[in-house]
Amino acid sequence: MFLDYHAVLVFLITGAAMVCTPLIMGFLFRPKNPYPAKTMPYECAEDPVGDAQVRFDMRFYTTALIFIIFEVEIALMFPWALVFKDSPNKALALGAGMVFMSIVFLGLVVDWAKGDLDWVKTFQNKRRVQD
Amino acid sequence: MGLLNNTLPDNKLVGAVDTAVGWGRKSSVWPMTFGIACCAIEMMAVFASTFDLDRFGAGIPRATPRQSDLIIVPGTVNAKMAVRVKRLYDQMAEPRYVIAMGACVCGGGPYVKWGYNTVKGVHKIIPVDIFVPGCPPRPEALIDGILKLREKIGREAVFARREKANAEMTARYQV
Repeated sequence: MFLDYHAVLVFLITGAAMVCTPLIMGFLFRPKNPYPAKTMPYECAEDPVGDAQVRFDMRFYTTALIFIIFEVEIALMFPWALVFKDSPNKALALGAGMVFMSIVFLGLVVDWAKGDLDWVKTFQNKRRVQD
Repeated sequence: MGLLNNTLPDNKLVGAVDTAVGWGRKSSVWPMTFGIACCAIEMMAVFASTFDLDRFGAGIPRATPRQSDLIIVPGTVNAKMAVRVKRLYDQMAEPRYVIAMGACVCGGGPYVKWGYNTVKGVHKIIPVDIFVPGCPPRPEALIDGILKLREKIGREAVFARREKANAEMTARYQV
C-alpha cells in the first residue's frame, strides 16, 4: 500500500534535488578566495567603527509611522489627480478626494493632539505614575 | 580560486561552456557606485538616460563592493585615497574588473610632474583591465572602455586552463 504514495516520494526527491543542485553547482563553480581584507566589514573602505547593532531611538518609530500617513496620501492622490481632468463629474471627484484627504488628515490631527509630533513629550494633562 | 576554475582541459566542449559563462558575465557587469573627482560627473552621465549604460548590462551601480563586478576609478587618486581604493578592490568578489578612467588615474595627468600627493596611475595599487584616457573622457569614451571590457570578459577562460587564452590575449594586444 505504500507504493500508492510513490508520487509523494518522487515529489520529495525532486524538491530536495532542486535545492541541493544549485548549492552543489555553486560550490563547484564559484571562485573562492577569502582573505582578511575581503572578509572585513564594509564601511566605505574605512576601518570599521563601533558595533553593528546600533540602537535607534524609539521616537523615530513614531515619526516613521506619521510619515506613512503622508506617503499613502501622496501615493493614492497621484492616480486621482491624473484622472481628475477627464472626470465627467468634477464636483463629485473633488468631493471624494477631499473626503479621503480629510480622513488621512484626521490621523495627523490625532497625532498632533496626542503630542506625537513633539520630540520631547509633554505630560501636561496626563497623570503620571510617580515611581 | 574555485574548485573547477581553470582546471579543465582546453577542448571544444569546455570552450563552449566558457563562452556561455563569459557571455553571462559580460552581459551583467555591475559597476560600483564610486566617484572620486571630476571624471565621476562624466561617469554619472554615462549611467543616466542620455547615454544609458544599461544597454550593455552595466547600468546598475551597486552600493557595495560585495555585489559589484567592476570598479571604475574616476578621478585623481591621492595618497590618502589610494588606501581606500585598494581596500574597496580587495572587498569585491571575484571575478572583478577595473577601469581606470581619466588622465590622472591612467598615469598622473596634470599632476604628473608637481603632484606631490597624487598616485601616478591607479595601476600602481590595483590591476587595471582597461585604461580610458581623457581629461575627463567623454561619455562615449567610457562606453568604449566598457565595450572593450566586455570583449575581454567574453574571451576569458573560466573553466579551461589559462595558457591558450592568455596567449591569444597577448597576441591580440601585444602586451
